[in-house]
Amino acid sequence: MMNLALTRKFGETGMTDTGSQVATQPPLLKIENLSVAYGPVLALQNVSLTLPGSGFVGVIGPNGAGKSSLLKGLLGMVPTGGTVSIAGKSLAHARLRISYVPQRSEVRWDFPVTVEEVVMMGRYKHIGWVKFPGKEDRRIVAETLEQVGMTEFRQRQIGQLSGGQQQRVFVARALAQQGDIMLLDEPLTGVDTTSQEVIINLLERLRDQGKLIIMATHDLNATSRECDLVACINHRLVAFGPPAEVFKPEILAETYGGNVLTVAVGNTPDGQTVIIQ
Amino acid sequence: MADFFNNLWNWLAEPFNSLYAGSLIRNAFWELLIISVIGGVVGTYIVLRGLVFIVDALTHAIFPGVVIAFLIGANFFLGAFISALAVALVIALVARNRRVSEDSSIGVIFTGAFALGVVLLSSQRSYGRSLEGFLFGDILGITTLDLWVTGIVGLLILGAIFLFRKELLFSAFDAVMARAAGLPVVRLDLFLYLLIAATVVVSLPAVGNILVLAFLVTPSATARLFTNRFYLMMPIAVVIGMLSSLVGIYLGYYANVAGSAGVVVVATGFFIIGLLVSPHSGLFVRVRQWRQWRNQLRRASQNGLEKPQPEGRA
Repeated sequence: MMNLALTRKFGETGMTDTGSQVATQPPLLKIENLSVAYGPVLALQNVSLTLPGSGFVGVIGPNGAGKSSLLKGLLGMVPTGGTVSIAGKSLAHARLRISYVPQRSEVRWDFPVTVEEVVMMGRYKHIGWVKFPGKEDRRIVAETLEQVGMTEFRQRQIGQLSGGQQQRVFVARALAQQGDIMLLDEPLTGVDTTSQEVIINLLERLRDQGKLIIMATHDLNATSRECDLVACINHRLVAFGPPAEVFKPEILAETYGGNVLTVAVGNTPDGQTVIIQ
Repeated sequence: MADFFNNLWNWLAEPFNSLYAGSLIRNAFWELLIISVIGGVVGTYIVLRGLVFIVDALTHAIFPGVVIAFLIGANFFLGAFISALAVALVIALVARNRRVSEDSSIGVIFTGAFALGVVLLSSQRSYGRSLEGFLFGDILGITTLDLWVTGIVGLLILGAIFLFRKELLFSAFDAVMARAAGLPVVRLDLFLYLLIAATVVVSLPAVGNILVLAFLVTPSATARLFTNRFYLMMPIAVVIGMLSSLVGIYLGYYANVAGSAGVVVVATGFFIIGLLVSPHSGLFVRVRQWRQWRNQLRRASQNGLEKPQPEGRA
C-alpha cells in the first residue's frame, strides 16, 4: 500500500523551519480518502490530507494527474468518494468559507458584463436571493478591485481585457467572497508577469492574514518559493510536506513519472532548480 | 405645414380608429407590445446563453400538444403549456452537457414532434386554414381574454426574472463558478426554461409556432449589437420589438401584409442595420479601423517606424 505510506498527516512530518507557526493551528480542512471519477476513468484515488487553518499549499503534478479534480472534489463539483470536512463541518454547511478561481477557459468572454459586475457576483451568495447589493458589498468590491490593481478597468466589458487582467478579475471575485479558504486552479498559467506578481503578492498577503490558500500549478519555482506545503499528485497523493522535503529528485521522479533533471541554481530551499522533462 | 401634420396624424391613427377593423387592430397592437416586453427580457437570456437552437426546438416540439388540445377541444393554453413543460424539462436536462450527438438528437426528435403535429392536424377537414393559423398565428384574432392572459402571464414572468435576476445572471455568465459558489444551477436552468416555455405559449396565438422564435431572439440579438451592458440589452430589445410591432401593424393595414410576418421582417431589418452601424462590432466601424490601421502602416513604413498594432481588443 504505497499510497498509504506516503499519505502524511500534517504535523507528523517534521515541520521545523517553514511550518512552525502553521503547525500550532488546529486543522481546518480535512480530506479523507477523496476519490474522483469521470465515468469509468478514475482521476484521483484515495487522497487523504489534513490542512491547517492558514498557509499556502501548492498542488503539483503532470497534466491530467488530477490536480483540478482534487480542487473540484474539494468543492463537491464532481462525483466523489470520501469525505471533506471544514473545521469539523460538512462541505454543505461550510460552502461560504471556500472561494474558487477556476481555470480560465470556462467562461463566455463575449458576455456583456463589466469587471465590476463580475466581482460583485462573488457577493451574491452573501447578499441572498431577491435583495440588491448594499453599501458594504460595493465597498468590498471596490476594495478587492484595488487589491488586484484593476480599479481603472472596472467599467470594462470582461472580454476586452488581457488574459492576465481577466485572471486578476476572477481572483478579485474569489476574494470578494471573503472565505477562509481559496482554491486556485492554475492561476499563473498563460498569464503575463505583472499579473503573476500581483496574484502571488496577494496570495502571500492573504496567507499572512490567516487564510488557507490551495493552488494547483505547473510553476515549480513559484511553488518552492512561496508555498509552505506542497502536495504532489499523480492520480494519488505521492508526497505531502514542506518544499524542502518534497522537492527531491526521487519524489519528483515518482510524481512526474521519471525524467527529472535537477540543476543546482538556488531556487528551492536546498538550492536547486528543478526541470521536468 | 399644419395640414401635413394633421394628415400624418390621421394616417397614423386610421388603423386604430377604423370602423371595420379598429378594435381588432387595437387588440393586435397591445398584444404585440406585451409580447415585445416579455420577448425582449426573456430573449436576452436566450441570446446570451446561446439557446436559440434549443428554443427553436422547443417551439416546434410544443406543436403536437397544441394540435391535440385543438382536436379534443381542450383549452389552448393548457395544452400548449403542458407540452411545453414536458419539453422544457427534457431540454433542460440534456442541454447543459450538449455534445454534437445530443445536438442532432434534439434536432431529430423535435422536427419529428413537429411532423407528428402536422400529421394529426391533416386528418381535419379544415386542415389548410388551421395549419396556417398554428404556424403563423392570427394576430387579428386576438380577443380581450387573450390580452388578459398574455398580460398576466407576462407580469408573472417579468416578476420572476426580477426576483432571481442576480442568480440568473451569474449562472448564465459562468455556470461553473455559480455552482462552486453554491447556487442551484440546475434548478435555475429549469426555472429559465420554464419562463421561456411560458413566453412561447402566450405568444403562440398571435404570432404562431414558426415566427415566435423571431419575437424572442431578433430584438435581443439586435440589442446586443448596440450595448455591452447586460441590463441595457433588455430595454433596448423591448424598444426594438415595440417599434417593429408598430411598423408591422401599419404594413399590415396599408400594404395588406400578414401581420406577424411583417413585424418579423421589420425586426430583421433592424438587426441588419445593427450589423452595419453597431458602435463596437459593426461593419462600418471595422472598415474605419482597418483603414486607419492601413494608413498608419503606410506612414510607418515610409518613415521606417515600428509596425503599429490594430485597434480592438486591449
